[in-house]
Amino acid sequence: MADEFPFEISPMFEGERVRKDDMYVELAGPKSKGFELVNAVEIDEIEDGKFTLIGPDISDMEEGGRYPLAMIYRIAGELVEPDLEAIVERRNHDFQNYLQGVMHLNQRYDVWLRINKDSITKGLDSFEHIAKATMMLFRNELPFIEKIEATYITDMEKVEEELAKAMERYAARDERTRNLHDEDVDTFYGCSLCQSFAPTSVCVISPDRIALCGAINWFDGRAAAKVDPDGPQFPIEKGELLDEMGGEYSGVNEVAQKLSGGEYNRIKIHSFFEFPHTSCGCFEVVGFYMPEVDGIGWVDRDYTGMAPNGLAFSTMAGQTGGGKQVIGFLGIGVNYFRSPKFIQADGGWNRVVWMPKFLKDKVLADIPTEIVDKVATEEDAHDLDTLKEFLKEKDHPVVKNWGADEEEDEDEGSTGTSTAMPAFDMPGPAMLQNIPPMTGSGSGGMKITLKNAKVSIDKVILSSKK
Amino acid sequence: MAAKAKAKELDTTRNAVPFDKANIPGPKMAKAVQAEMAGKFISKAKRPLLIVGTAAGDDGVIEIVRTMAEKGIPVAATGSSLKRLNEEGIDATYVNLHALVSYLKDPDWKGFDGKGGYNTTIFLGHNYYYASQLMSTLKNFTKIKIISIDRHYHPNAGQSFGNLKTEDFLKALDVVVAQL
Amino acid sequence: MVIKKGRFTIEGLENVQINIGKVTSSDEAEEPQGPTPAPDIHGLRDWDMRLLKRYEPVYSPICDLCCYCTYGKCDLTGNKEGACGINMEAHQAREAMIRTLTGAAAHAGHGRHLLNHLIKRFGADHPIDAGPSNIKAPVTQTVLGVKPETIGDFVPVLDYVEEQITQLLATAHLGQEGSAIDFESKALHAGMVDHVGMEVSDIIQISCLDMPKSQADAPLVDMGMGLIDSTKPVLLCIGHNVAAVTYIMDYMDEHDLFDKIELAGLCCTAHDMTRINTRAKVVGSLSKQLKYIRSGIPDLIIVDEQCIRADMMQETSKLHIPVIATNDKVMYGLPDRSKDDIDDIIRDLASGDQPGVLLFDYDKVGELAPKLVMKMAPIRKEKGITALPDDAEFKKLASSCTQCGACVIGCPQGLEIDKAMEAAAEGDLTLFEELHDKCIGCGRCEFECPKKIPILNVIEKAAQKVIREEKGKLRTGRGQVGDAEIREEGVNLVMGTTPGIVAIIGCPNYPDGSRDVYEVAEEMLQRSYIVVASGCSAMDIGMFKNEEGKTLYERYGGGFLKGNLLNTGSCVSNGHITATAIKVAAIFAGRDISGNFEEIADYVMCRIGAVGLAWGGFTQKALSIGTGCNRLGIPVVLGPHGPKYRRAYPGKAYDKDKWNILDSRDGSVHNVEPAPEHLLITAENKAELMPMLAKLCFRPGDNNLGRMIKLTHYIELNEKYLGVLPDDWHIYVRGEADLPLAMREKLLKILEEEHGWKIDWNKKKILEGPARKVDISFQPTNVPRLCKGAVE
Repeated sequence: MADEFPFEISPMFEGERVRKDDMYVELAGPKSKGFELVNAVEIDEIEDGKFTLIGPDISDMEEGGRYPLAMIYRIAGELVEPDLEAIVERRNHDFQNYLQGVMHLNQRYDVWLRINKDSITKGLDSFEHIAKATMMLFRNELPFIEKIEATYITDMEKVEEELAKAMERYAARDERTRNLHDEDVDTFYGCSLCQSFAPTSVCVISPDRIALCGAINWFDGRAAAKVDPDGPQFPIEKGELLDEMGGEYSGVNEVAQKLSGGEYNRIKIHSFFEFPHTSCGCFEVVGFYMPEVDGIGWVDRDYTGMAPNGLAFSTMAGQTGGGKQVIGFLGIGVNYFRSPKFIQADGGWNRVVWMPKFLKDKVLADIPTEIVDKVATEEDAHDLDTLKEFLKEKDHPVVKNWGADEEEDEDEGSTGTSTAMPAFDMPGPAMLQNIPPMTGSGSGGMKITLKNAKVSIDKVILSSKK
Repeated sequence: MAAKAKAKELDTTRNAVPFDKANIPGPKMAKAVQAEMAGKFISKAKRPLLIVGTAAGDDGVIEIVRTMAEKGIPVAATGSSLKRLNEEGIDATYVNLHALVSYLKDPDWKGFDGKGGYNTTIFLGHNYYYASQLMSTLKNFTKIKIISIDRHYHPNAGQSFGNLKTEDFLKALDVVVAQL
Repeated sequence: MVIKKGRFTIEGLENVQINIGKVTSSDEAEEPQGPTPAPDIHGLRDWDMRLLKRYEPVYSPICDLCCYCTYGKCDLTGNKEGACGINMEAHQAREAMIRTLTGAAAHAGHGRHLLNHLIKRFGADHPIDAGPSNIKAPVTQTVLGVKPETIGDFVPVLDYVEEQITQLLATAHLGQEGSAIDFESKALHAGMVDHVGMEVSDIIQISCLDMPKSQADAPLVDMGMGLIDSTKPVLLCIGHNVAAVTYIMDYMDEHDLFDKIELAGLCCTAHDMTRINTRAKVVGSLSKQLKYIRSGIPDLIIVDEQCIRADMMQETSKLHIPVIATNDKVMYGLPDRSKDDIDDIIRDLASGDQPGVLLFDYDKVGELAPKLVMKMAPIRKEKGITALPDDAEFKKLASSCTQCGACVIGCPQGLEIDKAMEAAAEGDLTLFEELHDKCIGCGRCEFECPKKIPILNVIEKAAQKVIREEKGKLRTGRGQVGDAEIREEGVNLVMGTTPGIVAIIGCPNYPDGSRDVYEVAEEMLQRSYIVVASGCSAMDIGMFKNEEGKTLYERYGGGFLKGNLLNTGSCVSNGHITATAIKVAAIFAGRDISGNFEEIADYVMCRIGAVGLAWGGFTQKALSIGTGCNRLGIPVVLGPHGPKYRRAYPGKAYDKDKWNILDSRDGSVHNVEPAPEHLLITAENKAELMPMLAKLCFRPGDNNLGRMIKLTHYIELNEKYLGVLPDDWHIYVRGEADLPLAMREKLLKILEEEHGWKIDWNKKKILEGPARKVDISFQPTNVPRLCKGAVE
């Protein structure tokens, strides 16, 4: 779109890297200071499209130099509210990367930008171009922004001054996110983006349950629903609370019925066993129930080994997903581990017995201290026996429930592994003489003797008695 | 006149063998024609369509395309010819050549202007083997007349030049458009 | 006595043999079987007819005659009938079916040969392991409804493949099928069967021969004529079937010969050699074959099957290069010396008494080849044997050219050899240097030259400087795509961050040199498409570098992720491409795949934005691979030699009736945008190809994020290569959220001014205009019985 701007704008420049030798200037980053911030303000406080620069412009900067950069956007509109700030702010990163010759890394106060030398020669001599292009993209994608204004600061003193204020703003947001729970809102959001591949998959996004793909949280859902209420993200009125621990709501159930095409009509968003939340296929972690220990294990998709039940991620993942409610397996995003309501219907962390070390380390901070050492990893247990031992030793809460169940059959377990079916040796005719004559219970009918007969059986199915 | 004089010294029927040695389709092969004849034939066509390939953007050839377009012959720009045609301000519609022959075969296709199919196709500026093969579709499955005014002999056309040297080719094109 | 229904007791068993087929545990969930396990020729005919109704076949006869039988030859020009009653249309369809079938047979034959060999070597119980996958053999399972666990389980699979091939070939006989549309259905069947054969071939070799198992970071190897150290003995392997070569590699490993001998491969054998042992070298694709032989560098050539020069013996005997043939598909009239003593054979070959032998005993091949090449090398190097002229001879040859142009007419590419000769005679080699890459190394020019100039040798000599610089890098074939990768990529596919998947496969009969496939791959990778490559194309993609001297395989990762470049491997690895599409249906939509081909193909065609590119497709295998992709709902683009396959499946965007799709939620009919517009189409050059690839990634099931990104690239590529906005971009707009972000305002204006759409400028919303609205929950399908409440 070289019409108004001295650079092309396209998603194809997203991965563009500007290396030290190619850069004209570096802005903010680890060796300087900077931040990006979006503020929601009243509509009459700003002038649409206005750009203000405090400090030197690109044309004033020396080649190869490093300067601080703060980018403050103020947005206003009927539907604009402070909860949307973070959503809009996150897009600054994406949009600035769309600009050819501009590289933007990280977010908030970690932002780090570089501008390519080539772009300068092509006419990128002012931050105004960057700001205006970014504002155009904001307006195009998020039409609830009726007015937007940008202020860029490249003067160190002023940057530091504003940075302190920005930090407060970020802290306040984080506080709100942390303290916002399912019970604090009337509306959840649904996301059906995956239906283009998984027809019956609908994610219910609540403050305590982010979408399992990790891409959309409750605030994102809210913003997207405002942009396009008929679009893939839409509001779900909670309705009546039907089950507090399980997280079941009448409004959610109505939507479930409609959007899954009747596949299911109830969802308990914090339950593993009853009407669990469905997944499409891109979940990062799959949970699996091990009846032998009455506990739930979790495997992430990067783990290439076997879980204690002898199954690999791919096999178990194949049992769930596809937008179907399957009991015994549950696909989730890593972020769900961090939810205060993590599978609370089934005991939450107290029901978790095993996860790969790598995964456990990732979420270590979110595992309650009373249980953290009682959750086994592949270093502690690699099969059901060693797992049982470990859990007993650590006195894991699930051990209490073991008395009730009989010992499971030791032979049960390794189904679906990749070991070959043992070759079945054909008994020679001689051996058959040891087979006692078969007599059936119950008579009726005639007696038949098979002589010199060849019996071909296509398939024999063995069932263990339960 | 100069054009007539040109036409006299120029013999576009020479060397009328397929430019691709084994490209002999069968008993029915194009009649080699003189440039003047080709031009007259085109000028009489009821619903002509000029189909150009990427090489139609070459100097010497593109002016011919412009002249024909200005004379009201619709131009189907196949390959990447549209780029050059647009730069030169010549009105043309992009279409993939393989898709185009399938449209031409369809009695219900209303053409680019919605007024109906075409009864004569004029080929110019094509990758030889590509165009030859697709002309075979028109030759065998439609009654559409095919005339090639391209540099090489196209056996699947109804009428074609022989294999021409570049200078003769450009001269021939001048003679063709002089008849329009 | 009449035996009626009821219960009876068997009192005794005397001399009874009981054969038990399979023992399974009922804990394994019984996999539901779809409606068409192991379909015969007409088993999936309904699906074929749905495809063929929308993408009506178009024929471009390469010959107007039919030369089949002794009633003929018959002239079919103008769609006449021949003596047997067949018309031009049906005959072309028959011809295309036979080509497809030939390709399928090549892969199936390769697979059966490998399977027999590997079962003998490793046992029928050797487990299958092609990587972390819940579905081990997706194509096999979808087509046959079986879940193989061991390589022995593939025996009945190939039985099925071979039965289909026999039945299909039978229909090529005179007086069989008479209708073009049913020949097409048979061709589609052949294509599908080809993918089964390929999948079997590759899975068994991955499982037994220690090849990378769905490995994203498979090792990189060097590639190129410029990289072979010709001072060492050079052992060249040509073909596709790596069985015999593994014995050579084992022997060389055991005796520490990799430093002493340059073991190189051409074409798919090279792919598979390097998948097993990264010390093997890759010369390059097929078009290098004759050129490399003529260079005189190889001291011994081992051949197996497929794509090998038919004049191998004539060419090699002139240059004292002995040949060992290891597969009965390619025997060249040579003596079978499998039972003879290795030393005797070596003596006869080294002395030149015999130009070549057949050797089906692979243990002998393993030992003999290294020994022989080490013996041959000093003999040949001392003689300095090469077909290439020296400088003086070169000048003489170039000057003897009279620019008659016969070579140009004989050249399949129409290369201007005469002009290059003229320039070279005056000492200017640049035209030949440019021509060298576009030359596919066929040698037809030499047969046309009245002066008997050995033109290919002249080309190669002239391009020596360029050839020496031909050094690339290849990521060794990784085989299948693993489940975890697909799941991880799912987010990108849904969010549109990955605009589509482009599979650049097949042969090197490119219209304008091998750089095209590199540039296509590079452009699409920059745009974050996933690029999958295989066979000759995978090699050529790795032969070019950027300003920093890095090849694409070094610049991009090899996983199934946005902006990654995967090399699946040799031609038989193409089965993994369709397998990946099947896995997407299984993983994300939870579809049951066993024996359920139609439903899966329907899912793929409605939702998965993938397109195949066989830019230089020239063999029958390329057609069968493409046709197999077509039956699974994946569109394919061929280069300008493509129409020589005689039939294509273009779509007609203007014919609205062809683009009706059902919503499986309620069976309602919706008229949708043409996506994919074509199923099998050709393009003239790279510039035309680029936007076409982007357009062929649109699907009716696109959500707006996906559609927006796809439309962005379609528009940008069209502007870049054709200089303008495409004139049909608006057809793919269902709502304002589909509009490319950076161009939204400009496009809304155009929609209003040029297309009369109604726009709400305050909210930047489209009020009226699109043919249909976006309904994210729209469940597109072409198959009525898949709709809720359907009765069929």
